Amino acid sequence: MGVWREIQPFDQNADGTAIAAAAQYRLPLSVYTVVLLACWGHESDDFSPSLILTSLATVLPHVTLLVFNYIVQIGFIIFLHGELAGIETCDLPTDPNLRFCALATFVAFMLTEFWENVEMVQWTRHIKLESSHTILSIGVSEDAQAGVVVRLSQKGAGRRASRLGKKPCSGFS
Amino acid sequence: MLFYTGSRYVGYSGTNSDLLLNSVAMLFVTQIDDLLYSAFTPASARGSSRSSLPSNLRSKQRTSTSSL
Repeated sequence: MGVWREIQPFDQNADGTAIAAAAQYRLPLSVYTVVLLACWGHESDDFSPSLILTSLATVLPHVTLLVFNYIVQIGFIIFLHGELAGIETCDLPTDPNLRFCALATFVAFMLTEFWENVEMVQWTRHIKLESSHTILSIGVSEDAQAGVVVRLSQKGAGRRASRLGKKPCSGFS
Repeated sequence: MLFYTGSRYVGYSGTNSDLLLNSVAMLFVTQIDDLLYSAFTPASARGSSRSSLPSNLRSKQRTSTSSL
């Protein structure tokens, strides 16, 4: 039975060929993407004032732009609500075909925007972060019979090791 | 919210020309984020978002379910 699974490094088909990707998630080119990348790019455990200031100086303009975007869009929505306040009729004077075309175009456009958001969420879910990485450790065990030992660390070990300044293979002799 | 308001605004237009104008107006409102991105985002940030790697590739792979 076929199931969806993530392609891991070194994964290949039985005949040695590369596994063809069935789905690929890309970030849309928008204000939201820029803010997402700016915030993730400055994720750090170092809380020194200079680094915080640098991060703020980089992230703040993008966040300001995003907030401005929300303010403008919400302003338009409030304005449109006001415009529609007195209208409560089923007797519409416009041509039904034209109305259908206009509404269909608008719905199609909104669906495109919605799928862009879904793709962004999928990208965020599946992107490999430092915290999700494992360290492949290869070394010679003290036990002579065991020989070469290969082991994978827990998820997030890469980040912990870099924070403590340790090398991944320090456990081996 | 934008979808609901926009649909009503387009649907309840008074005349045919208003209907067309309102449709274009709603597209403008929904495109504001893209306009701001094009106009105000620096080239460096645009480059980083353009060159962001695609997320995990997923493939339909056959798993071995042979019973032992």
